[in-house]
Amino acid sequence: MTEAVRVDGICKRFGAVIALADVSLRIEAGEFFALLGPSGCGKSTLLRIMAGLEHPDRGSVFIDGIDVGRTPANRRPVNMVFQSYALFPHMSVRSNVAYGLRVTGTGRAEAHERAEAALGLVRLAGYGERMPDQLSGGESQRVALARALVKRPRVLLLDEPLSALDARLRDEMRLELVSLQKTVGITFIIVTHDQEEALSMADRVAVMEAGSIRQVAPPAELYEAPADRFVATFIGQVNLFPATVEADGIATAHPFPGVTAKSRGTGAAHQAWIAVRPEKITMAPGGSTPAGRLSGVVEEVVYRGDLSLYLVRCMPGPDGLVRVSRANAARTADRLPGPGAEVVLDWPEDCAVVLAS
Amino acid sequence: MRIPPGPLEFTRRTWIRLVLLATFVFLYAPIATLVAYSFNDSRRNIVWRGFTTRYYERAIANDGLVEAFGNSLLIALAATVVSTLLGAMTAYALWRFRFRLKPLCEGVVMLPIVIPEICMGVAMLVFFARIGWPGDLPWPISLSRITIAHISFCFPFVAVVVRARLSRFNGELAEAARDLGAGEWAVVRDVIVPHMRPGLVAGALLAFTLSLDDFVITFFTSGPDTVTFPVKIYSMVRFSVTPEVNAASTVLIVVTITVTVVAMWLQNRTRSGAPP
Repeated sequence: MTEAVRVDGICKRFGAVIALADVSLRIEAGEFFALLGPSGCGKSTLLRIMAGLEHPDRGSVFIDGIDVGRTPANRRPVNMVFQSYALFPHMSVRSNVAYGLRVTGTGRAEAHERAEAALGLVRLAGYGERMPDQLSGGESQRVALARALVKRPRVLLLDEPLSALDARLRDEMRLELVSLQKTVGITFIIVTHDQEEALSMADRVAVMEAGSIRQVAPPAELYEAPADRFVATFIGQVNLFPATVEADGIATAHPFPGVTAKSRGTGAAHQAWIAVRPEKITMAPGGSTPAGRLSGVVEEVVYRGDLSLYLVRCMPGPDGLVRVSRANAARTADRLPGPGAEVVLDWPEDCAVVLAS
Repeated sequence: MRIPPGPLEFTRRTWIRLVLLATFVFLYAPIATLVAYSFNDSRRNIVWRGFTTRYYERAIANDGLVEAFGNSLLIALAATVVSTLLGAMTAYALWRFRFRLKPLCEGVVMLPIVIPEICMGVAMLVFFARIGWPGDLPWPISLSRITIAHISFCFPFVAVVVRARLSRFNGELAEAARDLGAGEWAVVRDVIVPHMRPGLVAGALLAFTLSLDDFVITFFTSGPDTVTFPVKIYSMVRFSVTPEVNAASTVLIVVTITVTVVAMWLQNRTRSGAPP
């Protein structure tokens, strides 16, 4: 695979705030890449630096292997879909989409033809004459996509493109963005704070926090083998048990000797954590055999439709609560224990991950 | 059956309606009287003696008045064009760039709005006398003193209006244009100026009406050959308030209202219901 974008040692600060601290990243051509993180983690700044709308204090950006540090935004072979869509309110949909072509010298006829084709691509054929204020949120979103794609950029940058849409439309657009990316074959880089969005769309995800990248991995790896506590808790739900790693690489949780896991790294460590996802845990009535790793009492059941979340009290104190989720496969009858029931928890050894930090 | 007014239906309460009526009477009774008495068939403008358009004919036949009206229109047009351009550029510079002493610059630009007109007038008089601006130039150029004075007090108003409009600009629009390949000038031309347009229209209107009816500053900068409409009316009123003055004033009101209505109509048409 060839690389589409590479950023090297990017640093950026706004006054006293460090937005990006030495960020390096390589994104392959044709990839659907997501920058995921909480708000203020620097992900949008990184995207804007790639677009040329922001200048890094240090570090370089390569697009198709060419250093674009001195190339202004209007000459970079990348286009952006803005969070507010930023459609020009005084131009028709067609003029909006054709703008990028017209302003760089493409003739009117050709520009309009390509604009119509781009509108067809986002399933808005026939919308050319409308004004932006006559469009719904989803339609505005598609126009913004068409406007960015019509220039056939090497890389399409999307800044929180779905955050302004309502939940139903968001699900629909997610699938559509993925299929659109397959159709046009352009590298997509999307910025989002929604972990579900990143996991369901991207080929690879970079998780960012406080100006640095914590982990870059495909979605499944991110979820099943998080690099640290931040990634583990930011993506999905997780039970974390403080633990100590012995020289043989076996980690044992302090208050729960039954909770053990094999460390991926080598060497002993005083402070580590064992992470177990709630849906990996099996739950059996108390007193059954085998005894399982933990036993406790169901404190609360949170019904969520497709699954129920059980909060099981295994020990007094804030660390003694374990989350277990179970799919509501049966309708009602054999839904598992209600509050107050004694249960035994267990999970396969390889479902527990040791986190060093 | 009559439904009693709801708690928020203020316009259906009698006392509110009375207050509203009183306000409108207070605002418009003098103007209505002025217009009505321009049709009064009487030399002394005190008692109603019947309808006539004689004084309009008299006003049109008054060469001095017509010339003053022409001067005023010409000055207002020139001052509007120049102060709109200057004001827009000032507003853009203050909005777009960051530089040392920017708050001071902003304050200085707004200063002519708060300086008493009489002081501006005296200052203009002294200034033109000091630099020796010739007073005996041929006709249209002879209006240059008044025009320059008008530009100097009109353009801050334009700058304020346009600056306020720009502060509501969504910066992502300019970034989107840049991202799509527009250079600095193309961004201004294709995105920023269209956004400024309502402000430009409002500012130009303001400048036009301010210039058209300005008396104080004009009085200090006009010469015997460069009389504007307000100055001419003032000199006529000094002898007696005849219906001729009323007629001329009515014409001025009609011109101002027409210009305003046309400008607002143009603005609505170009925006075509876009959110402000």
